[in-house]
Amino acid sequence: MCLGIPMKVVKIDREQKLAQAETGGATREISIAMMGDDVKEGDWVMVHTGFALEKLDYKDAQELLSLLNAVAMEDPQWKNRSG
Amino acid sequence: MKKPAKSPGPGEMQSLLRNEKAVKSVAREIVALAGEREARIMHVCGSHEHTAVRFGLRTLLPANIELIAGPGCPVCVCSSADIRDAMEIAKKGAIIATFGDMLRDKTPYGSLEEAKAGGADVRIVYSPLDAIKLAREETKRKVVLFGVGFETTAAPVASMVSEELPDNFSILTSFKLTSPAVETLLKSGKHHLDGIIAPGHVSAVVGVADWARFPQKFKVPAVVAGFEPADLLIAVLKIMQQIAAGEPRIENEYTRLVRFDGNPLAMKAMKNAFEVRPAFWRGMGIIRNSGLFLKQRWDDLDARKRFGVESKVESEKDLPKGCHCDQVVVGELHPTECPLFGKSCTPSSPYGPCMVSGEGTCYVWHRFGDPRQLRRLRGGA
Repeated sequence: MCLGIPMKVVKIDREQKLAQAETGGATREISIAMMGDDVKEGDWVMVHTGFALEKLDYKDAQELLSLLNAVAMEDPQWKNRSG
Repeated sequence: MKKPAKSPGPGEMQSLLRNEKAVKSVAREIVALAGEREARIMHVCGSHEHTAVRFGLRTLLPANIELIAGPGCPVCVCSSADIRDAMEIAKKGAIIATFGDMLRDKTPYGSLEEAKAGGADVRIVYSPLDAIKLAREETKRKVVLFGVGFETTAAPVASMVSEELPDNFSILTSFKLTSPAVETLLKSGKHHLDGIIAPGHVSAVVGVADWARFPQKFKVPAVVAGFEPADLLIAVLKIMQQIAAGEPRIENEYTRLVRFDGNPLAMKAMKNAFEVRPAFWRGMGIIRNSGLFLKQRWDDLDARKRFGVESKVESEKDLPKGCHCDQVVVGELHPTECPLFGKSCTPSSPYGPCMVSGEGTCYVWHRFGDPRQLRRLRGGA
């Protein structure tokens, strides 16, 4: 029940507070009742029991990325993966 | 090494946080920093346990750092009284719509699965939205959403109560707040903790702020963490850094999702829908300020009021005889130390609640546990 699924918002119905969201090729209807008016198509949200709990935002992830990226970049597997 | 040119998407982020080299380098930092220092670090989320076991994270930690699973599984701590309420309501002819994990949770009065086999109309839903849809389709029946969960499930249900809902729809609540259970453990004096890994998705609702009292009042470091292997190890590293510096504080490792004050709309919805009262946690007893119950103004949505049910827990632990879930749920006992584990208690035939749900510690260990990592625990070879 605490399993969160990151999904990409593809279509918003603001009046009904619903959206179509997709992940891994599957699309489903989710509630955006707990999202502010700034949620927009193309955003990634964390979905729990069919409700968007919060927006995913990678702006602040730089610290984490720089920590991990330096190491991961030396990994041939990772190099191949990111092209 | 220069910074990446632009922020990655979720997929790229995930593969980075699962990258073996990156994960192992964090583990090496932990080992170097920890030295001989012993630390008991507790997380309180079934999904964190899932990550820890599935990715074998405990095998990467030194023996002096113990990563413990605390009360982080809502199905495990759901009281038999709440399940009995659901069964009583079903007997009165209503459709019970609930999450799949709830069906096999056993009580002295049977399980919802057994009730279903006996003719009760119990339906599995993925989302509270599905329960509303069901009520709109089954206009001649009463539909009751049996909502069980922590803040991540409570907030969605709270966000619905002010909407226009069908008259034949009501809610049986079994919602709990996460942090009061951890506070109870610390206050009991029986559980020494050196660090708390706060659940990322619960914290997306309640905010980092909800965990601030642990460093402040109890001098225990607390770090909000995401669910990839590197997330969890970085949280351990941050806790060890705080311990080394002697400065317990609150930190947020999961900045890509969690804000300091949480989600204001979710919190507003919860305040509107629920009042906080004591709640019974299976295996733990009554914990004050830990239960979310519909406010009186929502009486017409409250299934307990509509159907006149209010069961009480009838035993101290509320567990079947010989079940050690009370010790497992607070991290006192590893699942493999329970004499029933894997014998008379398995995922296909669970005896105790910790083996029922995908978030239960016993289930996770049985389903995903690697014998090598299990041997390492508790001084094994």
